[in-house]
Amino acid sequence: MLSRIARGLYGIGRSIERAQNVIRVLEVNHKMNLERDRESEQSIWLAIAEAFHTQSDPPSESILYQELVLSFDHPHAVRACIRSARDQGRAMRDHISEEMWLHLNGTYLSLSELTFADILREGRSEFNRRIETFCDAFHGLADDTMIHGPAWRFLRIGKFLERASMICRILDIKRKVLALAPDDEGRPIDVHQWQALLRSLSGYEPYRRAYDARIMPSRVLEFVLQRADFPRSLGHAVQQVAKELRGLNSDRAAQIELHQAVEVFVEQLRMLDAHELLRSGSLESHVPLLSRRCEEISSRMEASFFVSVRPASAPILPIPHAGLVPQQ
Amino acid sequence: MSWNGYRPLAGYYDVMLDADGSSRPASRHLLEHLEILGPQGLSSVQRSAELSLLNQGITFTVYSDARGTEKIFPLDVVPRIVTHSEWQRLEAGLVQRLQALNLFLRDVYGAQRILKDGIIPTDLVVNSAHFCRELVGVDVPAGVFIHVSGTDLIQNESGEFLVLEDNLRVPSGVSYVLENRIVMSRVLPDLFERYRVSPVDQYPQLLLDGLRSVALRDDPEIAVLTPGIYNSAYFEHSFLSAQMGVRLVEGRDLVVDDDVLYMKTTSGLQRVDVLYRRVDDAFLDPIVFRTDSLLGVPGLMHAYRAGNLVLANAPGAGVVDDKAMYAYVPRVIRYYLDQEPLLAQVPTYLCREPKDRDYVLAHLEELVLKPTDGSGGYGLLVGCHATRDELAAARAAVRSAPESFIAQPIQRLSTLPTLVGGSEPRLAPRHIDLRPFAVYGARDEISVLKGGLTRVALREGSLVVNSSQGGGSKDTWVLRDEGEHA
Repeated sequence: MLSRIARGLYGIGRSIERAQNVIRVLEVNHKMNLERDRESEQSIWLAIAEAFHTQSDPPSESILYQELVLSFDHPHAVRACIRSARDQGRAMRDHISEEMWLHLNGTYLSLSELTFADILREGRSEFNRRIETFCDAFHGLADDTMIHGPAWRFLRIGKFLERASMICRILDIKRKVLALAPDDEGRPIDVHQWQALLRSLSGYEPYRRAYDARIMPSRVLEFVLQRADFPRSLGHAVQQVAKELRGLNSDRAAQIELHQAVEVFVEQLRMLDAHELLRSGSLESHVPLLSRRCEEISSRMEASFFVSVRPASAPILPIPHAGLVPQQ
Repeated sequence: MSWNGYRPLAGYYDVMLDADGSSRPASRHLLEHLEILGPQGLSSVQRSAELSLLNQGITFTVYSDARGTEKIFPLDVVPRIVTHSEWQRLEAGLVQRLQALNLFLRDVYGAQRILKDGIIPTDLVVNSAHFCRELVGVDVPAGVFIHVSGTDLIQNESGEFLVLEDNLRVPSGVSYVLENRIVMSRVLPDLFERYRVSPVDQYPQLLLDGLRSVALRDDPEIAVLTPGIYNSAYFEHSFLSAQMGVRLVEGRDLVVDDDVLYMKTTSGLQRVDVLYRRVDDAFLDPIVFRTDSLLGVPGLMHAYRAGNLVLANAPGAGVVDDKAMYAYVPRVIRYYLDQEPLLAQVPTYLCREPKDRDYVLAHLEELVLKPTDGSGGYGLLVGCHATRDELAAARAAVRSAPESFIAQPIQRLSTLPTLVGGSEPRLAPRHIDLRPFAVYGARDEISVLKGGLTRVALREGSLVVNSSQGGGSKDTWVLRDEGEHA
């Protein structure tokens, strides 16, 4: 398919996933805020601000909402992401289903005049829930109303690569507070942090169903990094990327190499020992490695699918003055 | 008609009713059906049609809206019926005209005999803004310049079809023809059954066959070049490419290397053999034409001149659909085909010629003044509707640049009943024209689609039918045989 179209669909996948992740992080931390004491409030917002590179210092909630939800420019802002997805969607209406377009366009239009006061009036949690539902529905529509061909695959690769990047980023926010011995379930605040990590990935309920209510750091880490049957784990996301790359059936060298790199990453994640990571205190140094892997895969996607290599050739010069009357 | 009191306008040809208000033979079934429906029934059919169009996204983009708002191109559900014999005459005339125009283009970019023989003023051709020097001497694939054409026709007060304008560059509107037909067959199925209407849905296949026939390689890769989603005709570009099963590309998807055109795909560069380009000449290639164009491809003309690419339509075709050339087309037909034109045209005064200019200045109120490089209906002056100031300004313009204007007697455009009146629906006569579409393939095979876009001026008394200026459309039913409507 045309590189531009593939890149556009990939971009839509990334944008929608990003919007959902940002909103979820805000929601989790909003909830944590309500249960918190005064001094620690600052640090939570700071951590988020740091992770998403906003310019605020120090950020208040309303500023954070301005920057991460309402901004049209900030690359992580929810509204910017949805607008980007919608603009791309419009340019590729022939490649997404009509239902997806109407859904995307409808939500975009409903957000276009929104202010922070409107959000407060609606209720932060209600607003957050509305955005999350929109994103879930969008992916559901993609799965059920698109042909599962290359267009759908590029959309999914974008979604899962963004998911992988976001998990790494959230771990980054948390790594300083999460560097604990595996069996230390000591002070309530640490359990809280591990819980928050799970909630940031909609993983708290699934975790409890998989295990029980006891928050054990090594189990949480394993859940978040490796658990293949938990849709929001890093392992699952990377496996889906591998699966879609396989489905694209590439025969070009760069694309094959990318696929192999992803499969290697899948293996590496599978071999991780969460317990050992925590015990040896190397979680903090390991997380940036994971982020880097995700970035590397993203740039390889760009280079191998979206950019065509031009064979070397002579420069094109203007045509010399063509005669009015052909030579006899 | 009893529920309406519909009266044709005096002195104009109405397609459905004759001067004393009785139905023309071919429109009898239509009239009966309208009687049975009544105003509310017809209104409800109209609403269904509009809903259908909206749901299908049959829209065009309004330039002025920053959000690129899309509007439906209005369809009025009362169809225009063309009898079999009317159409046969029309089609023969069109085929003859297109053949002659294509020969003209071949000649003008080749040996230029028609210019040397003094039939057409040389300066008119070579100084035209649309004359493309880069085409001179080029071996145009299969000798076809005008692969797609949309000729604007009107009917005068006797019901005779006349050519109003040739459109040989990037004519649009055929997608509305196809979509209108789908909608009409859905909302007026009973009426369809009473008539035997020639189908139009084979157009994409006709176009594809035509493009394939002129290709330079076997199993050619065909693509449609669009300026993108903000272009007012984007829907049509996307529609036609999807219907033909070929790729829709923008300039940025293309690259020329070593005089060959390629598309950038996820599997690498893929060669393009035939480009159906819906981009004007001026924007095709920033190296050769407008350097500020982002819509084209640098090196496209090199690839074309090297014989590695087919461009449909060929660059430079606009030299003949220029309004200034229009008056000379009958001479063109005689020169190349040694035949009299089968299709008449509107008498035309060329202001570049002193006698004509004097006539135009003296009779401006009775004429339509047209700038020779205008399009889309803008810059037109309809003498009988103009204010005194507008007339004075027009006269001044003609005096200062006579070669930029032509004038034609105001034509009494035919009318057709059209649903008006909003909440109090009724039928009223509105002026129409007709744009049939033709595909020109190799070996001079010209296929005219049996139907066309009937455009209607929705405002009472208006003669301007363009979509960008408040026009709408009607389905055109070309009857398959004479049947009982002689």
